[in-house]
Amino acid sequence: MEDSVIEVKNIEKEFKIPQERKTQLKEHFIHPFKKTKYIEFKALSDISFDVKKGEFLGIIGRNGSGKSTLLKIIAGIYLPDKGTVKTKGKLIPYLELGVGFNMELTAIENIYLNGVILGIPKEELKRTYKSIIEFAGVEGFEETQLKNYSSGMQVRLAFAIAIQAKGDVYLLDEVLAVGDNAFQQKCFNTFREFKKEGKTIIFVSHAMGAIEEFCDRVILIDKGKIQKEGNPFDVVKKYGDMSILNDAKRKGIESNDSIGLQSVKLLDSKMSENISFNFEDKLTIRLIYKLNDEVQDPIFTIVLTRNDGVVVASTTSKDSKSKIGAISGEGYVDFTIDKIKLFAGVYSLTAVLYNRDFENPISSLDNTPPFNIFSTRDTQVGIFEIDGEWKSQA
Amino acid sequence: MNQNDKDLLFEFVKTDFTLRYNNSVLGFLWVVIKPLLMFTVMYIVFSILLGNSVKYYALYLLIGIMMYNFFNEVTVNGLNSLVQKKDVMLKVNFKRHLAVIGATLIAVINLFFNLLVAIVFFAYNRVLPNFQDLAVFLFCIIALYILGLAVAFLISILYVKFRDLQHIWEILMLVVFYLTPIVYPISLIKGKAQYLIDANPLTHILNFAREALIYNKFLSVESTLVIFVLSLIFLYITYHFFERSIKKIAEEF
Repeated sequence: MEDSVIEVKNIEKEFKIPQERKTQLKEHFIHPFKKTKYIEFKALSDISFDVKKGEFLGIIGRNGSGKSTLLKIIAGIYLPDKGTVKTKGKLIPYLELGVGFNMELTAIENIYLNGVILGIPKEELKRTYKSIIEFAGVEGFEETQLKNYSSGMQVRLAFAIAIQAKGDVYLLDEVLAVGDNAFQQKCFNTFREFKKEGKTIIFVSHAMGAIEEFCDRVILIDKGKIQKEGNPFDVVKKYGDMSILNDAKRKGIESNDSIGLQSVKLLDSKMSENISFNFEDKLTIRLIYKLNDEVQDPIFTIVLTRNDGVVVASTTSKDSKSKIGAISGEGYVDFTIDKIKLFAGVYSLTAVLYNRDFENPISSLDNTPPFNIFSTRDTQVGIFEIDGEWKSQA
Repeated sequence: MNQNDKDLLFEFVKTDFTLRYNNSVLGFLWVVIKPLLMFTVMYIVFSILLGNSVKYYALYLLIGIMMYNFFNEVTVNGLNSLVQKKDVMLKVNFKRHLAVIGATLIAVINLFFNLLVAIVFFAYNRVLPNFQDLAVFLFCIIALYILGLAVAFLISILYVKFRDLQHIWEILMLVVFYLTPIVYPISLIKGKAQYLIDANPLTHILNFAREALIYNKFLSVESTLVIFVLSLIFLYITYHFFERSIKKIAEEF
């Protein structure tokens, strides 16, 4: 195609993972005829797609699905076994922030090192290093060794350098996985900037909210194959379905004949399923169950967790005014939150069903597929909004 | 080489250099102290053993040690260069040979400072090389560097696969040290050992350099020229081996 800047054709990649790795010559001498046993692991097979100029392409998939391998092949770090990758223009890989950062060097030295590694001309770094320091908010620590920086400062510095790199195509791998919310908002703003400037971006992420917000097209990879390709909403939904299915399988809760909690649905104000919510939205968490026997006064609990592991909130139907009574067969309970009020981030939840004594769980669903809460405000720091009122003395 | 490659090479060298001498009290001085200490020990031991058989033995030994150290450092730095940069190599696709060249350039810088010290020794002994002698010496250093770089391209790749190469290389370089007339004059070796020492390219390069620099004698250029050309061919081969293997090596890190 004429206007495509990346052409990936029939990529195949297999890793041979030695069961006992002979990394020492010694071992070749001791057991010269012993063949190393390999486990062959097909990381990618038959992957083909194009990326057009100015397109924002998302790649999603579970851990180990082959996303990062694909990105590394596009970046030219791994060589594919079969197939070709053609790229046009200058490629900027953000496979990790702060590549080449050395703890023993000062911030300034690291700016030059990391900047040049990312392909930023040194002349330009000489002009912009002050604004990099400023953007990272580490003024006064220019000559401090990086080992004396907090991890937050390091990430901010790395990010400030990274966005100076000017290229035609950007590869982003889970850049958002680090940093607090304020930092993530900063990242998002930069992405918006990139998008406005019409840059071509390939974005690998687990943050479905971000994927839906930014991407023009999304590719879903599972077990090294493209499972679905298309508009963000459809592909993310398919991914969500897949995850729920997989979760259920992993727990041995086969969808049809098992007992207990079946799945969790997140519904927006229009009562349609969604995984991305504004922080002022109404959210209904629907717990779908299937039971053989009647359960008297069941207790449902929900625990909300942010993707960095912070347990954010919990609720139980035990404390609720309205009693649930007896349940049996197939059905659901809803927990409705009028205003979410959780600040932007990626969250997931765990739901548990107990019988009335609140001791032995009948069934539980752990860490359901993540959902995203976004916000149009960029003044949010922390977890949730405190109810309150500002008043002036005058 | 474009501008960014030059910048990158410069940053690699600068970083290595800073890191190496950052946290030591004497810091950069170690570059010259180490060979000088080595020189002192060997001078004491071998001037007793050899007596006064070598004219300007101090200079003979010093230049020998400095050139051997240079070659040793080029190869050892080269050996480590890829493994050391693996984190960067797994994230960014820069020209990999820059990592190897950068690591070997450190040795060039160190040699430069060592030679400054050597000047003091030459002045003390009132030995004054002329322009031609210096040109010969420079030619020898270039030959030595090319040979070292060729080895570096080869072993940097092998080291990724075989991590005990480091120890093997250390021993090998010790063997090379004694197979090269560094502490002893070549005239001392008789019999079969002569062939072994003669087959060592370092012998010819060192001899050629020292004869010119210290004794103002211009040996026949032939053998050194042959080594120079062979080194270039060797470099060509190992460089291509390097470029061919490097893409596949990323998975082995």
